[in-house]
Amino acid sequence: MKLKLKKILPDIIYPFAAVGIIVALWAIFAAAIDMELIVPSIGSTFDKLGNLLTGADFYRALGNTLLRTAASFLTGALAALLLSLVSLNDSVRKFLSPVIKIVRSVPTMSVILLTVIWMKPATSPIFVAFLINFPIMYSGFYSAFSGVDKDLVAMSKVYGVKFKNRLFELYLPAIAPAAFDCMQSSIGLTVKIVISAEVIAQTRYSMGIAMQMARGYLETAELLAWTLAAVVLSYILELLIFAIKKAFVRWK
Amino acid sequence: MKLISVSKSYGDNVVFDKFCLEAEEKKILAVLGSSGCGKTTLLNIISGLTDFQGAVEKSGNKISYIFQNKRLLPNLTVYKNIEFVLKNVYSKEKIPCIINEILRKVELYDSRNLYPSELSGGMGQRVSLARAFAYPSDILLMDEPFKALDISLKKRIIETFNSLYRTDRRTTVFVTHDIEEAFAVADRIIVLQKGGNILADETLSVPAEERGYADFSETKKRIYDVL
Ligand SMILES: Nc1ncnc2c1ncn2[C@@H]1O[C@H](COP(=O)(O)OP(=O)(O)O)[C@@H](O)[C@H]1O
Ligand SMILES: [Mg+2]
Repeated sequence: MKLKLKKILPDIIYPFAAVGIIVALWAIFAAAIDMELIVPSIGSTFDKLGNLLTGADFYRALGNTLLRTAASFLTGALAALLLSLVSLNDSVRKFLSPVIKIVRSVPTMSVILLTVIWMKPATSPIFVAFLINFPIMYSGFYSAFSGVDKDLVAMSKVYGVKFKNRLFELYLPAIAPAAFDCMQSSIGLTVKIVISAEVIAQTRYSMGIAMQMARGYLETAELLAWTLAAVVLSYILELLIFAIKKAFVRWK
Repeated sequence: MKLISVSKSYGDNVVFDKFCLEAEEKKILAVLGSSGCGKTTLLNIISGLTDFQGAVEKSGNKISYIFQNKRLLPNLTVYKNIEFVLKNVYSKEKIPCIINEILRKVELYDSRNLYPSELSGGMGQRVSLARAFAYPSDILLMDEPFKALDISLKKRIIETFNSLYRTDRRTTVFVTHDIEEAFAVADRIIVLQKGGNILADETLSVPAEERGYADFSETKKRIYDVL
């Protein structure tokens, strides 16, 4: 018991220490600059957050942004999985890799500005975030697939195992640890891109537009409160993916 | 089973040059040879894992292969690892009986729910053996399966192999660099040299199960002479 406590104590102490230092720096800056407009105090930020949390608008915006994030992330992950799987075929990979490279190298801002012109404000953030998270997950999944043990593949071929069984019992479990790690870092990015695109597309009832409006009214404390909400949202989504990974990868 | 004029090179490295070999059905052919002479390549040619020139005539297409390394799926238990290769050949109802029976024979029934990472080296090799015999193959290929085991473990596993084989004979090619292993299981022993020369070819008169510690000093001498 004592030993276990000793083991998990650092897991609790260090994150708290890190958050503590950030909060302390924030408090020092706020006190030193002493202008709510530029660096709001911790107190007023949490006051605003409290106000937000009691209003229905907050949940509406949060819900919409969350749905967009989920839609973009899930389609990105699914497309990345399917395309990285077919990329195990060399000719398919040679065809796809320049396409993915181009998608990858287009500046995020161009993607956002272009899709805002082409699509509705409610859907463009989904597509923008997809264009950003899909190539990242594709590369992550593809390298995980190419790392699958060739000896096991050869074994399953000699024993005449069907592709379906190879996929579900050999390939997918083999890529799972790396794939979940990749998805965990992509989800946070997806939240950020969705919110950025919402700002530029002026998407109604969204976290992005709420931040933009707070900025417009010089409500810096409220802008920070929304930011805190976005950080917590990312963190919870990351934890969720981590939990799914733990439930799925049980053999290590 | 017949290999007819089989050639295989890796670049300039000629491993087999118009190599011919006939293996008797339902008998164990041991292929002795030093490291790098092409033993693994020979098994990969027979199993279709590598391309080559020439032809291999087989009595059936189903092949069991006990690899040099265990090749178990890390995410599947012992039981599921065997089930993995049987799903395509047996009905759902039949599979559990076959797996449980073979696991009892290799003394792994109590370990059926363990993952490969929880097994010792000898146990892992037994799973690999069980998988090969559970699979209804015409041909059995074995690539130095007893190599990494200590003496007493090796002896026990060879006994297990012989008892499995006695009730379930298959056309077997067993490659090794250990002459004692060859004498412990084989019906016929050949000595292979790089390029595909056969330096010795001895048929053992006493069947493996009746062999015990029978003295093959004359045969052994002839084999040692060419090594
Ligand atoms: N995939 C490969 N690529 C290139 N050379 C190889 C490959 N596999 C085996 N060889 C070469 O072929 C020869 C025979 O190898 P192998 O069949 O593994 O020998 P053994 O199993 O008898 O030790 C060796 O010289 C080895 O270097
Ligand atoms: Mg070898």
